[in-house]
Amino acid sequence: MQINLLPAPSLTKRLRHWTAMGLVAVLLAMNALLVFFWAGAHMLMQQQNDALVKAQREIRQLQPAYEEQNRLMTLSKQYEVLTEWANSRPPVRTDLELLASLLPSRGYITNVELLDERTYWIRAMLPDMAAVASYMYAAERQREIAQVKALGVERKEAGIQLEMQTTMDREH
Amino acid sequence: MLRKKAAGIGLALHASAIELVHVPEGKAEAQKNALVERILLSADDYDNGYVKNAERFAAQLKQTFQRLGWRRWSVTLALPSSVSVLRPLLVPKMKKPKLAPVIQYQIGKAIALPFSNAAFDFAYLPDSLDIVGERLFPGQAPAVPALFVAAPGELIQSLKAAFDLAGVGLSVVEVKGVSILRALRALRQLPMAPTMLLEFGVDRVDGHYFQAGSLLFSHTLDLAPEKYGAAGGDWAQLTLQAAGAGFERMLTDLARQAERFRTFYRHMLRTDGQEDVRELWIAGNVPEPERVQAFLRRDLEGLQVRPIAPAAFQMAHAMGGLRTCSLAAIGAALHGGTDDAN
Repeated sequence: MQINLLPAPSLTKRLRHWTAMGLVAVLLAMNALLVFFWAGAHMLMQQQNDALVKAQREIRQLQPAYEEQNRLMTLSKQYEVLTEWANSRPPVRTDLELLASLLPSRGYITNVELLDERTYWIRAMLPDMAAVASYMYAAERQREIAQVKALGVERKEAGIQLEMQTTMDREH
Repeated sequence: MLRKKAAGIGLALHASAIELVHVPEGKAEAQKNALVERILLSADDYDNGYVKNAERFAAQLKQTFQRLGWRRWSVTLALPSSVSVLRPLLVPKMKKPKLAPVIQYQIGKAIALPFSNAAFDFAYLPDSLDIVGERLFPGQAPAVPALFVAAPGELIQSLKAAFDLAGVGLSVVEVKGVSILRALRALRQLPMAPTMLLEFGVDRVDGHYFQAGSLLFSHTLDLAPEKYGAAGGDWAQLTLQAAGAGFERMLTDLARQAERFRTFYRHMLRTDGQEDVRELWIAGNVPEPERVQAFLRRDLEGLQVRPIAPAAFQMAHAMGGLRTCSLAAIGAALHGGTDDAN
């Protein structure tokens, strides 16, 4: 059994009350949403920070290995450059071994100059003129040699000094 | 809800005093932990429900609440029975909000009241209750029983204004009989058979009539402690002078008035098919309860006299010990109503 002799609030009062209550509820809901989003953003930021710290730690751990790898790569690149450079140089040693192998007995090369990638200026000492002719002939017959040009012959105490220009055949 | 339920604060207005009760969480089972306080008011400030000096009344009330540290909102107030009118009615069967304007229209016509500008409310009674009551819209069927309760509108307004002035928010103003019914329900002693209950308040004795677990009528007996030589207008003071002639006179008057109202209930409220009033319960601040009980048992033939005695309550103030309290004040502090036809 419930009895209440207090006058019931008027419609205006009740409307005002419910409006105020509704407003409070909406504000509370908005506040709750804001807190929810703020907490979400905060959590996301925290996760990102954690991931960043973890990544930095991993980077620090990987740094020596990276530097070693980098050093190896630099060396590898240097090696490649050097190899490329070496490959781009004329095969001087091979050429000289060929030219030396053609010398008759008691003949020897005393001076060599590389005039361009294909052409050598050579000074050789040979025992006599026959050896000079033999050497020129042998050189001309070589497939690796495109052109042989005698520049001068001079008699010396040790024999005949030959100065010649040899152009190698690189296409061969 | 996870939130702890608010304490129940109930106030019972008496002729010259207010009883204040604080029940933790307002639960029936927490009655034993209730705190009780009493404010004695000057006749210049307050008299039997009427506030004469709102400022002084409010100041005293505010000061008491501040001292006790009790919650000051959602307070239930029980009016003195002498200022309220209770009347069983037979009303058309319709929902309460629709019936209210019908009853409002009938006030001053089918429902005669001793005052104009009434503040009223009503509660449906159990359909099974066969009562003798005024029938609104004679001839219309079906009709259901309801209890109509009214008090002067000015009294309710002045009380509300005084409580507002004290910063105490009233949520319910009810009559003591309803509060008592709630307290009885909490004590698991709901009066199902026709029962008269005499409650000793601070300074008056109220009679209530219950049937089928519902309140049907209340009135105030013409008994006041001052008439029998008790100082301070308090029944407790009469206890100290229990050996005197005043106490005997009070018992005689009490028995005579109880018998008169028993006759009234018999003829005005009881229908032929219902059993007679056989129970008389005594509650509240009863002076010398054993003597009162023995006297009434001897004087009122055919009535079973039974004391309703809840545990003694702790006084709220520091110097207080244990004391009794009116059931109306206790009931006002309990949450919730009682089950009925609502």
